[in-house]
Amino acid sequence: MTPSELMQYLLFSAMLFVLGLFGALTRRNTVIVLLSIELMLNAANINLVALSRFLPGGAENARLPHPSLAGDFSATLGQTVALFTIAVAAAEVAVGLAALIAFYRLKASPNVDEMDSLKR
Amino acid sequence: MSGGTLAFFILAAFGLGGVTTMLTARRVIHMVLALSLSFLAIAGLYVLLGADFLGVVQIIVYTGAITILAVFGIMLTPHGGLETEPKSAPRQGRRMPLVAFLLAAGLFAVLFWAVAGTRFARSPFASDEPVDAAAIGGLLLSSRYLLPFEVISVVLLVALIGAIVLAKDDASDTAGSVQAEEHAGTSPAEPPTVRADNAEAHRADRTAASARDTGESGQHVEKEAQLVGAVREANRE
Amino acid sequence: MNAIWLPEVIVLAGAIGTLAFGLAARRSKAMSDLAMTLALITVVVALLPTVGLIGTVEEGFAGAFRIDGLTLAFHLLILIGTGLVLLIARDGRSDGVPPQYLAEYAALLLFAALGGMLIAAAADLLLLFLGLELLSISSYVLVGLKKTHLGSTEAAMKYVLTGATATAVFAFGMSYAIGLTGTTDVYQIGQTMADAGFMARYGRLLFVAFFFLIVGAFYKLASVPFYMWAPDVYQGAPTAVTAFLATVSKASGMALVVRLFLGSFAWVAWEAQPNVIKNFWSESTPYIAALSALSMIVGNVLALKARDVKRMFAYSSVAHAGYLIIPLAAVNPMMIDQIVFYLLAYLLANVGIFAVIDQVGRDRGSYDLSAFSGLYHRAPLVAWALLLFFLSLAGIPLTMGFFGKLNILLGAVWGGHFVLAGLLVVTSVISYVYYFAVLKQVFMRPGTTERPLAFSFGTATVIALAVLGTLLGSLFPGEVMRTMQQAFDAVQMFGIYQGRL
Repeated sequence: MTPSELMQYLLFSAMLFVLGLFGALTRRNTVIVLLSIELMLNAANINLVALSRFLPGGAENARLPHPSLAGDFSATLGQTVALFTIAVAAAEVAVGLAALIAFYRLKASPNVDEMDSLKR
Repeated sequence: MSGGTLAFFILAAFGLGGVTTMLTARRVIHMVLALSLSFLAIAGLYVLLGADFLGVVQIIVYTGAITILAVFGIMLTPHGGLETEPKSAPRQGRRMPLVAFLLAAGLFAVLFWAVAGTRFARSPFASDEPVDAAAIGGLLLSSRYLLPFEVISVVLLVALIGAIVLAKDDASDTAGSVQAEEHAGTSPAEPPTVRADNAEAHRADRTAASARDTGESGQHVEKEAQLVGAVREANRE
Repeated sequence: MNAIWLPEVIVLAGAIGTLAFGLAARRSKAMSDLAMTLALITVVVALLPTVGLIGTVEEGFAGAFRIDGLTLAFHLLILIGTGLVLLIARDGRSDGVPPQYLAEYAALLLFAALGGMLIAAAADLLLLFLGLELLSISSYVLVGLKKTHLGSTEAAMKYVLTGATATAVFAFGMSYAIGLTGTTDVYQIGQTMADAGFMARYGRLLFVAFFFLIVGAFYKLASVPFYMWAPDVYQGAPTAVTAFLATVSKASGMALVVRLFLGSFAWVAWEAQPNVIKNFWSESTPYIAALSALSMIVGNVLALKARDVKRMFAYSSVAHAGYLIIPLAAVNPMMIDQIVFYLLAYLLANVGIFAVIDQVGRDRGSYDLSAFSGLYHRAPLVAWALLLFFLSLAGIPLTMGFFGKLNILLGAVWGGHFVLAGLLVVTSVISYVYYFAVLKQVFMRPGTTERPLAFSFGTATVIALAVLGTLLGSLFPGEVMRTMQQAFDAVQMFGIYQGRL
């Protein structure tokens, strides 16, 4: 992987993040807002996986017996953290949809702009 | 252009295409399908990056579980029978789209400035080898990442309990009428069916409802719900 | 090796035990009530090893888990706060939460506290993230527990959406930080950044990472970029949960910010150009100071027009988040002590006030300002306690809150941030207006009823404990501060850096 390839990945993930944010701010349906937020988390995962292939921080961090292991360690670490992020994202979607169902039971609307009973 | 770069651009095009379709589509279900395409393309990118296991997880969790969950969420919450965003103001969004656009554009400008302005240096030890799933498992069981591994299980447990607590329709027989009243704020609604063992609860419910003025706000609804709950509790025992 | 993880394990075991107990006792109301008591006992039992660990500086799990003065101070804050909130929740059980969910209510409060404790003890970015998520996800559900109440479910929905966005922002920043440095250890991230030439090469991306992380973490504090959720969520949630969000959740967020900012970023120095040394702290200070100033202004100004008391306290908590961030902008030798002391004063006063709000709100069925009218005639002792809490929150001289603000003010002056110091004073004066509006209702307005307001045992205990704590802090601020500094030496946090910077 060359630096320019890494940059492609990072720019792609930046676009994904920004579009996800835009979707989260403008979409009306709660489910779509939640999925847009998932896109933002996916962007973070792409960053992790791509950057961990590069080891910019150097080899001495990993507390490994030999620096030649550092590359594999870094790649594994990046993907492991990404796995954690995926698990967290799934947990958040589950709770989010449950909250939506609880809300819908009382107001019969899945739209964010109709959540306006709390004011003053 | 190497094969890897070509594959990247094709997958990236699918990924961004899915997102733009999501942002322009009218029907909510189309939005979800478009997003599932994006998630699939991202899984392809993971494989391209030598993260095969992560790619498979991505397909199972995102394209499989989360998208289906979202479809269920949409089917369980139909909006007046129509699943479309209203045509009158499709682009207006819930808040000012201009503010959202400026925020997103500004953020992207900053990210572009940061990424494009950095000269990345690859460490000589960095590796492009695909990562074995066993290596991930080994890392998860190493002394350092054992604790996060335990904590994520607690997080998932909490999400499970929380989702059940929130989504469970535990009081549809009695509280349903209370909710309908609170929502409508005026006439006490009659639940469509009344089970025999809850008839008494309903009588209490109706008495409480008829005792109030019609224009009253929701502050008594809670007390009423307690009353109904107490009656139900008594019925059970 | 000490059992440094004992407090967390006790809380976890207590939470799971409470859940199991609730499952077994689902049919019986009396048994469900016991679940709250069980949770309360858990907190008290967890306090014992926490106090026993005072003075320990130790790492576990290959450095991912770290007990030091900072950790223990926040553990105590979180456990005390959770215990008091549980006492309110126990008596406020009719606050709209369906009675069959009392066990889940108690267990989720414990899980959320566990998340906060993990944040305070984590020296690993991944663990910090997961602790934050544990706290967040438990809080989402807690806010929506009044299931038959539209406001509560709406608040939960808003909390999930804003919270998940903040999580994504945090995760995005985390991905840059971990990816660039190749490690998840908070201290090693800092050391890698301090490597020669690293910041010169990756400085831009690391600044972006830092701001994403800080903005994601500020969400928990309800400070400026992410404060919009606070009013709605505070208003819709069950009152005990509001108290939890205002105190424990905020303390945990502060622990997160302190660990991240001071552990990884603040001390990094690099040679930007030949012979020009820059350091991260002084580069980031203007932005943090701006966020702090905006929080103080926005919170205090918006609180002026709030009529709902819980909403008013949401804005007030935004303002207090602003005060709490000041020490981070004005780095000085006592910054962590200032934060912890102020958090303690804020926690005691707020929990006491929310105990009163809970009781009055349930009695009157409304959280409007006017619900408090004539409280002095209905419950004179509680009215005097309320006066003490408000004076402390407002920072009237010779109360605990005053000494907390004074410390922060002196720190800001020491760090050369005269604007922040001035804003702290000015906005505090603004806050007198809306705090006084409540007091006016309590003491000067005749109420619609003169019927004495009975306070239940738990609420009365909370108020009494909060009064006791606030009085102690007001009468002996120096002693409290000194004891804190000796027991929870904040410098221990940087033990790992000794001789290396």
